[in-house]
Amino acid sequence: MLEVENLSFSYGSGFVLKDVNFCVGEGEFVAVLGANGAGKSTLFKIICGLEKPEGGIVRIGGRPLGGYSPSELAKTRSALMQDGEFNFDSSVLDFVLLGRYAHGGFFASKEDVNIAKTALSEVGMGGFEGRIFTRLSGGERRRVELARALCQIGGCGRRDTLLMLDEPNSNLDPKNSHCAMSAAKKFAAAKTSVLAILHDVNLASQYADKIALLKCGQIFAFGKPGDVLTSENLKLAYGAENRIFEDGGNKYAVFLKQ
Amino acid sequence: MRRFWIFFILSCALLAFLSAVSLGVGLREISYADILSALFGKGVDETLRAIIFDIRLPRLVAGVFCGAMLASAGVAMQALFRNPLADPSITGVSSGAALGAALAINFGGGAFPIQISALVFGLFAAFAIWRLGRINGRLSAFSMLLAGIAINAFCGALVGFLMYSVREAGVKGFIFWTLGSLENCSWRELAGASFMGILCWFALFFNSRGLNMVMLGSDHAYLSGANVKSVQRISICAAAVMTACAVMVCGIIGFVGLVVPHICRMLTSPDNRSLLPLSAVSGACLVVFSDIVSRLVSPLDSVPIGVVTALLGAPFFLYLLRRGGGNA
Repeated sequence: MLEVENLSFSYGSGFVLKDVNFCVGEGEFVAVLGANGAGKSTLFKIICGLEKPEGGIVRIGGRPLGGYSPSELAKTRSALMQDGEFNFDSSVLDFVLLGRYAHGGFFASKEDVNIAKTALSEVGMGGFEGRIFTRLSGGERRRVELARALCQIGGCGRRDTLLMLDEPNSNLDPKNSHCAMSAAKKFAAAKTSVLAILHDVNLASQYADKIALLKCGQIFAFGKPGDVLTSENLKLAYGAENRIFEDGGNKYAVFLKQ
Repeated sequence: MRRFWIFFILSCALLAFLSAVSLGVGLREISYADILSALFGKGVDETLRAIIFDIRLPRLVAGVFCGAMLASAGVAMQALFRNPLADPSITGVSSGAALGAALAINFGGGAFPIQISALVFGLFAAFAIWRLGRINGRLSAFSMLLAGIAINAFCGALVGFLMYSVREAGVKGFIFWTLGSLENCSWRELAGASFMGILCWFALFFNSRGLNMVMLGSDHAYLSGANVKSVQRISICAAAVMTACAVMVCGIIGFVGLVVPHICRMLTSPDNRSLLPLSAVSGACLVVFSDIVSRLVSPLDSVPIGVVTALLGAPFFLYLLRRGGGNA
């Protein structure tokens, strides 16, 4: 569904991304991990179409990103960015319905409203439809923003769509982090491809089908969590001593005090 | 939507009531029976007919038009700048249009050149905000707002200088172009301005879904499928033309574009699809009501309408702000 080939990008003299290659297959959940400044957010912005790469190409559904109109692209890929900037007193339902922009007519249809309500339930925010968005807590807002992203590509995921998440669990407590990741995983089960930028190695280990480890703008490990999450790889990626534990088939990392 | 329809119908009823009151207020007392007879073409004397058709009715229509245009332009600018403090008079478009008018007056232009000059300079101010608000090829709402404030101060100062340097216009002209007035409105002035203004209002209304998206921020709007550049261009052009059209007719009336969208947003929702029609009717109510008050306070030489809109709007706005907990 998503192909990234030889992607390069630089700000001024130093490169931020260099020859990045990876694919996300249909229904696959890929997490991108890396230290601060590794190039994760730049990679996210390029794949979203917010930045133009200096070299390389991004294809979604076999078509180059530039071949899509904004509306076509929005129906195919949905993205949750790090920081929301909305500061008007809209109701939660109206805010989530903004995600249906590329699909809808001048007014939201019944189907749009149903999709928005389903998306809210998916992230544990059912019953919050009439609440004012700006008066929610940071974590609640984050989940509503995620619901808007889910709503953009349909209430329960579908083939030929890509869901992109940049730190979806920021501002979320552990329980709600799992709730957000479960919602994304459910979309992956319905054949939506998911690409998530994460800081939490253990969440990636539990939910991702594959992990891409990014360091200094290059992917140096890509594969199944069990193969990628080794103590050596994590030390290389984050520059921190760590211990790996296994439980229930998942690997968990604990980073040690420096 | 239910709240929108309640407040929209209430606003329309209030506007109808205020329009009736406005037609009845003036130096010469005219009964409502005579006003109705004149309006429906029944036999009344020519003087009465002239007062109704050539003085009071154009004044009322100008009030409705300017109020609707300024409030709607305020809705667009607040959404575009993603700042509830943006309005046509703060962002320099009104001052730009006033500067155009002042320059035309300075060069001895008649009514038509003054209007055209106001329109061109209003659009030029909007274009300047647009250009100055771009950072690294991207439009920044914050930079646009700051650029608008600077342009407003600059144009305002030039209007003051020009008005004081023209003897015929003098202080009275300065007051008209900075505080607004509905005196001396004619059908001819209204015809051109209202045609362009109403056309732009509909352009803005059909663009209102996109305007909702822009409120999310440019990047978020793009990711949701909005053609951000096109929405921004249409909105800023429409808002600038609507403001310039209002300024052509009645000078600068401040506060309408700021307070009316705010109040309507507090009463209903920030959805521009409903906010635009509600603000248009409510803006018309505020300006017509302010005009009535200005004529009642000073029947011979009515108080500048901008003074009244600010005096009436500010306390009500503050009351709503306190009640609403200070949210946008």
